[in-house]
Amino acid sequence: VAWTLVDSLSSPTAGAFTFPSLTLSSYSTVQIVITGVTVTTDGTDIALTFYVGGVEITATYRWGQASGSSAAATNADGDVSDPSILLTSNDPNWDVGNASGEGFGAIVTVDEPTSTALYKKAGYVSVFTGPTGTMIEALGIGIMENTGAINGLKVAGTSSLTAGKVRILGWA
Amino acid sequence: MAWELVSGGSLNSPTAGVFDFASLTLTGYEAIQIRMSGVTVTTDGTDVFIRFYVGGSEISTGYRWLQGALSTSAAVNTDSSASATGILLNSNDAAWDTGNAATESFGCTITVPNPVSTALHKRAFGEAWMIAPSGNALTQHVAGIMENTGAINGLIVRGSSNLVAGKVRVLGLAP
Repeated sequence: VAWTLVDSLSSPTAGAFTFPSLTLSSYSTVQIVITGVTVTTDGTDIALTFYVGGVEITATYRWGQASGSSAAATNADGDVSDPSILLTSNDPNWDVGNASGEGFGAIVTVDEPTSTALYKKAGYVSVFTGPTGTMIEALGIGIMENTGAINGLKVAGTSSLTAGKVRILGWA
Repeated sequence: MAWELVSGGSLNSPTAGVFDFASLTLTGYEAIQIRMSGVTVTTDGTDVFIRFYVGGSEISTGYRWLQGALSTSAAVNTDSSASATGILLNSNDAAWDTGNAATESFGCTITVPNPVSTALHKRAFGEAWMIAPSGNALTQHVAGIMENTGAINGLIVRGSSNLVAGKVRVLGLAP
C-alpha cells in the first residue's frame, strides 16, 4: 500500500486539465493534487467532473462547501443537482481572483473510484485567493450519482484556467 | 521519513461487522493514519466510530469527540461529547450519519499523533465523507481524544449497526 503517481499535467490545455483516460482499477483511493492554478476572469469557479466509459459525465452531481476567509467571514453553499462538483462556491466573492499572485490549490480524495456499486464521493480541502485579495479555505464534499467506474476526470473553470499543475495519485 | 503500511494494518472487509486490528506494533511511528474507503452499513443513519487498544484490551470509556459538518444541501451541523465510549467520525444525529442504500458509503482519513506515548492522552483528527440517509453527501471535520496515557497497540472500527463492506488501512509515519 502506497501512493503512486497515476498521471500528471503541468499546464492546462484549452483552459482545462483533462485526463480522459485513466486506469484506476487497482486503487482503493485516488487523490487529486491541484497546485498553482490561475484563472482568466475574476471570481472564477473551479469544477471537477468525472469520466465513465470514456464519456465526461455532466449531470447528477451534488456538492457542498463551507468556507472561511482571512477577513474572518464564513460562507456555506451547496447544490443537489449540478453538472459538476464545485471546489469553490457559487458566489463570485468566494471564488478565485485573477490578479497577479492570486491562485487556487486543492487536495481532493475520491473513495473507491472504480466501484460499480457505489456513488462516487469526493472530499476536498481547497485554498485560494478570492477576488478581493482575501485568502479563502473551503472544506467540501461532492458526489457523482453514478455507479459506473471512473476512468477519467477534468478540472475546469467558469473561465479558462491559464496555468498550474494537477497530479493524480492512487493508493494501491 | 515516509508513510508506510503498518504490519497487519490492512483489512479488505469487516469481520462480524467490525474492522478489528487487535494487535498492532506501532513503536517507532510518530503518527499513524487510518484510511477507510467504501464502508457500507446495515442500518440507515449508522454512526461509525473508532476505539483504541491499550495493553491488548479494547478501551471503551474515556473518550471525547467533536465534529463540524456540511451537507450538499448547504446545511451545517455540529455535535460533540465530553464522555463517550469511542470517537465518533460523524454525528450523534442519524440524519448526519451514513445511509444504508446500495449506493451509499463512508470514508475518512484520520491521523493519530504520538500513538505510543505513555505521557499523553491520544488525539485523533481528520476528515470524513459519507452519503447520508437523505441522499445528500456530508463532509465532517472530526477530532477526538482518548483520555488514556497507555501506548496504543490496536484499534477497532465499529458502527452503531454492523459494517458490511469496505477497506481500512493503517499507515505509520516512520522516522
